[in-house]
Amino acid sequence: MTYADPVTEEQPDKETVIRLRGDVDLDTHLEVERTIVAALKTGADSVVVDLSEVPFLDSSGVRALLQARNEALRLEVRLTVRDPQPIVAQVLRLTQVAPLFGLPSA
Amino acid sequence: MTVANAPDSWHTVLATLVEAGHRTGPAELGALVAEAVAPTGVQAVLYLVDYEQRALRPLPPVPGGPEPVDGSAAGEAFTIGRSVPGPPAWVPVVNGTERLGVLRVVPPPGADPYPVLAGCRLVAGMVGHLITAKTQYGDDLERVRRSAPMTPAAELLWRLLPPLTFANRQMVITAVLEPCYDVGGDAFDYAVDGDTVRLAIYDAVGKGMRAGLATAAALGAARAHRVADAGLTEIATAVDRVLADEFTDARFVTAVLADLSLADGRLRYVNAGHPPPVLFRAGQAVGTLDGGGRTPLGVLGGPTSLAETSFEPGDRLLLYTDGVTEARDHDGVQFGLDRLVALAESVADADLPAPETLRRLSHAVIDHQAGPPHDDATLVLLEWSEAAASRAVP
Repeated sequence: MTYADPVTEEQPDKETVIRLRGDVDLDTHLEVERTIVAALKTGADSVVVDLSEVPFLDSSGVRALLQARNEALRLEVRLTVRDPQPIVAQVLRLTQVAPLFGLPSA
Repeated sequence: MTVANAPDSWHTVLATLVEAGHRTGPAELGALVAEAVAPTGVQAVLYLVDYEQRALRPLPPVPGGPEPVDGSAAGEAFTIGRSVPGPPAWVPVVNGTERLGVLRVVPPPGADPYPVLAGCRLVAGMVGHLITAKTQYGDDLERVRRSAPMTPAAELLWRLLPPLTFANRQMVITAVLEPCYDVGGDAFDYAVDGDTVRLAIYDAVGKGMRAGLATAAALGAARAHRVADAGLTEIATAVDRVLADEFTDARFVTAVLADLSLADGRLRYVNAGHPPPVLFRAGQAVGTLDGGGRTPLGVLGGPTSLAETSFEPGDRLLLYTDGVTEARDHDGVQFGLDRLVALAESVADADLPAPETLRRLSHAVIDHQAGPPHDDATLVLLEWSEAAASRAVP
């Protein structure tokens, strides 16, 4: 699968989980960004992006996350990322953005 | 003694190049070279290397057409940086240490070839300066160097970059960018100020013109502050500001900014979300520069801290963008850092000129790649070595 197929789960404590599926790259980053930003606007206090089913994320994917983070800061919604696969975790660490999304930096 | 063996005759040739060169446009440069050497009985044709460094292309065109860089006598002169005796002989053409092309030289019948080659070496040195000076007055030299049209982003970017190779007596810096007609977001930069070498590699997120504009803004801000003697953290902050002000789409640029002191070997650097550079000592990779981490330029997230390490004479630093290591073959296998390091180590044994080392590494990445590249791939090599610096000169 080469596109992001988001699954949104509403949690009782106003936390929204977005589970992305597939690569997040030049072809899919805009769709991913739109999906996260839409979730930020639903009134949730916290949005969690679950990356457990994303095998690949490139710098365009990092940009999608950062763009969503800008929107989250503006809307005062907490935006975090969880469960990245090792290769994706390495990209987030290497680009030094992991801590911005609540992930360990090393 | 034939005319070509008389030392005075080469003085006349150089004088012609200088005097007539004042009023010569880029289109006439090949003809000027041929005319200037004609009184010695030597026939000379100028060839320029194309952007991909795969062919040497004659100016003006000749019946035989271009010469391949790999597997020809012309290419040997270009790659090894030494004259190859003929006939025809081939003499490398450089501006300083920037490799531009070769001269095809046919001495007059019966002439001793060695004084001819010595004379042509001087001519090639002057021609290298002339090519660099004249290229900005017209498009003919650019046309010869291109085997394909440039994208607008590549056109913008190439004209912002410094020459691919520079050496002084102590060190050599060299770089290579691919895909050369379609680059956009990658860039490198350097300035050598006395004992300080200021080096940078940049990679803007995305592709094409938007990425190219972000890189251009980053280069502008970094250079303005560098010239004003700003330190590395100040330069990083200046680039943060210009990207945040000019781009509203989380457009960021990863970068390594480094200052090397040639006086004491102190290497200071900042790494803004970029793959860590690899340090080679005595030909072997001894580690990566893992300090100085911060968020990519344009992403505000805490202070910029400076890392410091000691560089020893003979050390080499290899900087690269992720387009190099993430190039994939038909099976999706990435080129990878291990392969890059192993290749760099094996090529080091050959004692090649630094730009040739990078040309071979870059072509290995392209050969690995299945289909057109997805990302820009840039390599920058800094060698702190008098021997390496002298290998960069023909």
